[in-house]
Amino acid sequence: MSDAYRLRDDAVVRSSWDDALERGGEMLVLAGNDVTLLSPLAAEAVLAARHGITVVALAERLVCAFGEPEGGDAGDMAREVVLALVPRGVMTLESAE
Amino acid sequence: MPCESDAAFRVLIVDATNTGRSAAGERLLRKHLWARGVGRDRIRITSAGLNADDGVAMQDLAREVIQAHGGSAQGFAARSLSEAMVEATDLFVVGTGYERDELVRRHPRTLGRSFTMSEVARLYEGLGLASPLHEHPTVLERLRTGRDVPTDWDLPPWESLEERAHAVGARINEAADRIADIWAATAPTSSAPVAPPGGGEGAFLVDAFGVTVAVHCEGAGGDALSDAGRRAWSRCLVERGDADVRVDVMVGPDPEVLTAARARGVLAYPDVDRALHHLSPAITVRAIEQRVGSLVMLHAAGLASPTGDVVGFVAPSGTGKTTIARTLGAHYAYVTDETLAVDVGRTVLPYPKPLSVLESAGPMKDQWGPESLDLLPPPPGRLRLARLALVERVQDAPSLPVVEELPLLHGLAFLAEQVSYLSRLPLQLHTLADLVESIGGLVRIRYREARDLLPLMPSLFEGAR
Repeated sequence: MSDAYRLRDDAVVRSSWDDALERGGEMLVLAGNDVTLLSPLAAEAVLAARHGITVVALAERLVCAFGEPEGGDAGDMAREVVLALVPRGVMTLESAE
Repeated sequence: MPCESDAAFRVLIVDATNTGRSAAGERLLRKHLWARGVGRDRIRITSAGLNADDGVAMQDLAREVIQAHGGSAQGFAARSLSEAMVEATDLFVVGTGYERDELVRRHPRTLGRSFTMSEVARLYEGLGLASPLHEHPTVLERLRTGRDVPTDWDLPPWESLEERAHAVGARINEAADRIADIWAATAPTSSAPVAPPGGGEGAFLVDAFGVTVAVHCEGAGGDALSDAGRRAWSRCLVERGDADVRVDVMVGPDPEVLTAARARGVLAYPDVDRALHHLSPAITVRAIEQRVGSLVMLHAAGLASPTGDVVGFVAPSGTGKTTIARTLGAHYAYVTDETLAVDVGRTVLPYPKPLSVLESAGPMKDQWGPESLDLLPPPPGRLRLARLALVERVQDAPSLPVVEELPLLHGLAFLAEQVSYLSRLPLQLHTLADLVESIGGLVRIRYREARDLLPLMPSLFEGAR
């Protein structure tokens, strides 16, 4: 589950939080007992996943907002964001290998 | 970190099969907590295995070890670790470093909350932790990050299986005994009604940010404890009134009497110094629980100007707050060295508790009353929060402290880690943001020695004006 290659394109991720503040594209979110400061990229991902989104659709959404990642793959970028936010309780995986 | 105060603290002991170490850990930790009167309504200890077969009995050697140390092996059946168990757990105590890493790999939500029992015992050494038990995983994780703590015990080789199993049992039992001492003092209080505080020479009342705590001293050393407690808590003493909550402490030489007292939920120790050491976090935690949701309670030292303006120096436990309070308290009024309590109107409720000072070579800190340390008392009238500074002691910092204004969200991200029960505050992050903005934001100060902060004080008091 923690390995990026195990997170499939059609895996659905969903975000949730108890309270949040936004300033200048960044977000501070309280999820359960954890407070996490999100970069503009992570904030966009969290907002996009509010009602559930597949990894591939999330990647497209991030490309729309920030452009193609330099020297990287948009899908991998989306996976990295998801895998960083799952341990913080901000995102959950609804279907994955 | 913030948490639910009305729920038990939930600990899951994890290993590979849930038939050996984790079974022994579960039963011996339960035994030591029960012996201190801490039941499952306050701390819930269960176990599971990463690769366990559900319903399997524990190994015979584990049973022997548990019984050898006075625990009960009855009614045990192995459980395989599930996602639901992970979600319902506050702290994971794992058999070995390898198993801990595997747990985190399989269940990322356990990151920052998973420790081997060896790590837990070592990280607690010398740490006078005065925060609710639910906050301990965060504190332990921060301490682990900064230190090279061995994850596993040195044990006899696998070829000597029986000898190895008994060695593991002895280590688990010893660690569980020490951990239970700390957890019993800081665990959520029982939902049972608080008995009337009563009076008597062995009892005294202290005020902790508006919460009246009755301290009942008993045992052969009860009077000595009461006298020492009154001296150490002199600035918090209340002459009369109704208590909101009580703490029972016993001091005596007879181990059997102490054991019987612990079973009644009394904090019981063989000497006054040890009792005072554990009394301080017990009072703090019980007072914090009484003010959940109504006060912003920060891990901070507080110093006040003669006009009642307060500067709070926010820092994690064990990183220099007491030294700051002791050093600056010779020049500015000592408000607290541990818990800075602020209401929505920025009024600070003082908590001039004893200061924990490491004077001797032993693992415990001595408790010194602010009077004994000649710290200035708070001025009469209202105390008002003027500034909050996130402080970080850095060995090679320049002698002139480095002060940095922090963007709101970045500052709040640090501050939130040092707020008790943030999730129970009305409007949570918004309440915290309003407080911070009302005092002109947050600054971070990197300093070398506490005395280096002294020249900054006038500008900090002016900051919010």
